[in-house]
Amino acid sequence: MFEFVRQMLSWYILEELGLHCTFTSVVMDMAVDSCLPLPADIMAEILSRTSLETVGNCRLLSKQVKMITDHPSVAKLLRERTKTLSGFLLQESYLEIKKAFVSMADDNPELSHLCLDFLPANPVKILASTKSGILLCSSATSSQYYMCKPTTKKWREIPNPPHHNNSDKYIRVFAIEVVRLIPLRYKIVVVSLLNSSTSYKHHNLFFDMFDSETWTWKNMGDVVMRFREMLTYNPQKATLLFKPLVSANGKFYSYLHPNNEVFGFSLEDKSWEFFALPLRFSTHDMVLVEYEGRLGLLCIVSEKECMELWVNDDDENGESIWRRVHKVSIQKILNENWTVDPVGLCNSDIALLINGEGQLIFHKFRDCCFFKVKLDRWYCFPDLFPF
Amino acid sequence: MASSTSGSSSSSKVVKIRSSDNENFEVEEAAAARSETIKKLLEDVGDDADVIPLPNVDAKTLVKVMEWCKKHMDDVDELNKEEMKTWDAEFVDMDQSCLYNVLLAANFLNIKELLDQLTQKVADMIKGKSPEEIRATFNIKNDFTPEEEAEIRKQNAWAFE
Repeated sequence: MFEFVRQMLSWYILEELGLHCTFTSVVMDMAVDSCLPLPADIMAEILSRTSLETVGNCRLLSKQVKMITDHPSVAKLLRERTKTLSGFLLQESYLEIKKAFVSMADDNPELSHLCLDFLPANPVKILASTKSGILLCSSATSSQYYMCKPTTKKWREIPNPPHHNNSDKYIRVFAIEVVRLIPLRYKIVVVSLLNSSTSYKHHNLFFDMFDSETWTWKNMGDVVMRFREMLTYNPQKATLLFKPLVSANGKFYSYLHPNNEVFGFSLEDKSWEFFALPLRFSTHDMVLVEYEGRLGLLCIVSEKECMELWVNDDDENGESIWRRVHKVSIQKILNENWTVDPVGLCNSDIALLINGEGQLIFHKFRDCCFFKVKLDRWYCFPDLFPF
Repeated sequence: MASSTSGSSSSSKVVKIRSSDNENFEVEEAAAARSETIKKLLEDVGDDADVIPLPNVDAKTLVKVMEWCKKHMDDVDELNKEEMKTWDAEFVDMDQSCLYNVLLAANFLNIKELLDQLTQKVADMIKGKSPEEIRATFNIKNDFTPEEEAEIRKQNAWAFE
């Protein structure tokens, strides 16, 4: 009898472990010699009961703990427990402006209408967002600029960025950096590039920054000079895409077309860097993303029927290198959809794609499953704003 | 040998459990069944079970866990909710090594409510603390180089704004 109970019990223990292994296996695979005070799944549970700030502090404890904090289940539970509205905004600016809010509670996307009616101008175009729920918008004619928080319907008009009078001649991309939440202090960065068709001789690039504390725009002229010096390949034709800047790792990133190059600049030391993408792309096959605090690249390699996620790291000499994090077959998706473009990352585990019928496809890297969500209207090349 | 048979209801069945250090305990079935692991086991082996061995839990920890189970055996009515809250708060107020052991036992025995209370307790211990303070609490060795650490601080300023 005793032996039987013992056997039963070990079976139960296995099952018990099996129930938890969805999380633990991911973390434990990489960390055999555990030096955690408690098992990884319990640590994850504890972290998800703290606060965003504490989880941030825990990323500094050790490599193992950082790995736990980076697991999407921690962020997911944390959001549920702290009741943070989380998700992303989709905006299509092609032909007409369309917007939708997609909340991602429990990994289940839910579409809702994004109401920005409280702003004096309508419709507005979203230019940049932050994960703390603050948006930078402009009126459709780009004559007014607003900072707003949709959850509280608070807004404030900000001065127009420089050169806005010739706004059709410029390609402009924005980003917001929140310096402090309480009381709120932020900086807005805008990169304006004079359209190469208008001026072949000079590559007029402007870099301006707005500080909420001084309430003024400031030109960072010296940065422009360095940009011109550094851009050796194809300097006349290089152009920016109308894609929001990606902020990661203390830097802003954008993609230079058709150079197949990324440029990044750091607000802190005002330095620029240029580096090539790991593969050659047409602009619709790839999108720059933020992945676990670093610059990432989500791309579809059609001829191989696969989707890849790359992350940009520095090697020991400080040179940037691309490392492939995921390579998954999307044959199934391609069989069902005649065209698929990457849109962005919903979190570190879920990639968002869009098909030719304007349906969103959510793809989970962990188990390679995917599901479709029909949008209320037809989108072709939406931008994803983390929110 | 320790025994913790409850006298409150005479008709209740008693089950025997054995700790890793071979101490036997008699516990009311209703209390023991707060543990999903024990409950499943009892359902499957029925009345034939002699002693249920719990090879991962020592006697000291098991006493603590069963103390909680007994208290949470019956549904709490509205009147006693406040009292229960106070009791729970006092229960989780134990020294750290004891807390970890009870936490691991609650995990192994699959007692969700207790696990929730204990993980919340540890979460409250580290909430709002600096990385150095949390590292001391968990007794974790920092294996980052100063450069790596600076890098993560930089990432944090953005991601956890």
